[in-house]
Amino acid sequence: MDIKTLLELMFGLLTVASAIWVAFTPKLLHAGFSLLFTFFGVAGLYVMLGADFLAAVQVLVYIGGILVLLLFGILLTTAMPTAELTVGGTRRGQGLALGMLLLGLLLLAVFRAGWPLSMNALPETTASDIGKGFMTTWLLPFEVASILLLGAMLGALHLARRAGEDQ
Amino acid sequence: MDFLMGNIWLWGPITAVVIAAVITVNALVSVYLERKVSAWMQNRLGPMENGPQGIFQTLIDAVKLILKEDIIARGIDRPLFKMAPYIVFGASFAVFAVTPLAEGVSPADLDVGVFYVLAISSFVAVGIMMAGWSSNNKWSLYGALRGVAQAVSYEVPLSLAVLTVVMAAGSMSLQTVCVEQGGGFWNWNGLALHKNPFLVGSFLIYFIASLAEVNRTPFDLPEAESELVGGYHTEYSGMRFALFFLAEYANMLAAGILASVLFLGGWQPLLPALDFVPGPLWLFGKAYFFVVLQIWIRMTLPRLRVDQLMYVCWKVLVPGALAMLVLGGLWQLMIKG
Repeated sequence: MDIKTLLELMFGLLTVASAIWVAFTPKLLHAGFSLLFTFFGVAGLYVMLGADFLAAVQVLVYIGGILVLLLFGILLTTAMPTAELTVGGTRRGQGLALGMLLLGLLLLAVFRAGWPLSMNALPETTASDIGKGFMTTWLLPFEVASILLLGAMLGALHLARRAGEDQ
Repeated sequence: MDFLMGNIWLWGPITAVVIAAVITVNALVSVYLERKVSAWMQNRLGPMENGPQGIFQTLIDAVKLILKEDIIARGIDRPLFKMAPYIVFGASFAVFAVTPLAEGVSPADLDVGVFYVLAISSFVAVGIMMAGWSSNNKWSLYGALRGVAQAVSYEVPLSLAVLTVVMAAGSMSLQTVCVEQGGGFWNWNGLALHKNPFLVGSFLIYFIASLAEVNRTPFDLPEAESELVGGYHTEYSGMRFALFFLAEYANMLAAGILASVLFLGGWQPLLPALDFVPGPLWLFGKAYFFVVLQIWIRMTLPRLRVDQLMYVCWKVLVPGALAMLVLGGLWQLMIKG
């Protein structure tokens, strides 16, 4: 087995195993910290697929941003960090049905999507092409996304300010 | 050399061992420097007993640290407590993979080099939070929360300052950024007023923000000894504490290396005539200049309060960095065409 396949397998295993741990651990914070490895595994898979820029974005956004915020949210909420999650429980039927539905949807998406194959070699670098794409073909979605983020930021600031507090 | 580079089973472990050695030696040197420089600044002698000028003191301390018991208190979250130092150390370790040592020589010349460094640093924040929470100790938790809040906030001006350089160089590869600054110190980004004067402002913002990223005075709130005992690593001892310690000094050096690569030419010599001095010497010389500067600042400035910390970040550095980014971009468009 060459090193590339081995690494791909390792990253895949890491992603799946830690994701299972997120779902099944009764400790909320352990689930949060386990997400670290899931995100890292996905980033590793991106690297193996030749998408270096996307992998760095994955780490920066998901680990540096979302995960940190999530953990902060848990730690700053009273009684949340030590909360025991009920795993298993009584609503097994509903859970199973919902899970199956999601699985079906994902499989449908996977098989419906036409995966275009390219005969060209993998590009050495991806960042400059992504940048050019954002500034030309995908300019409108890019700008809409930035306006959405700006709106979210202003909304968060508005919520964070206590009622009746001036400027 | 080609045989080595082509064989990742050989090349990978060798690079890893070299980086680990650099990090260890760096900690020994930096701790010694920190003690000596601070002693001289306060008109003391510093360590003098072991070896001439006490140069073996940190080596002895390191041996002592290895021999210490690994104490794990009752009531802590064992798996997280044990894992945290490795995550923090691993992230600090991984940053060194893209260090450009000389023209065309770096362990890994990634196309997304700078971006990789910024991304990997976010692991440190999660590791610190893990350590602080799992210790089940209020000082640890406060230290961790402060540390992470600070790291996340100061990442913004830091990234914006870095972005100015990336924009001027037209590449995120650390090698390309170095090559761009060739031909003498007046072409270094941090000093080149004729190339893009706004990079000088970015340099200042980068340096201040990097001090906060590596938890140095005046931004050392996460481990403020007088308030929090030791911050997020209060409960750690022995080798696990040593890993935090190594990571901290590795981060100082990494911040220095990145500052010298982005703003002081990296492996570029001071003058073109000084070409015969090898690149790594220039790079580490500049990086240690920043390490000494960090120590100097620690001995000079008092610690900020939490509200002042956030004020400096969001109301001074972020608008400043944004202004530098916009003006630098305009300059790039208008003057350089």
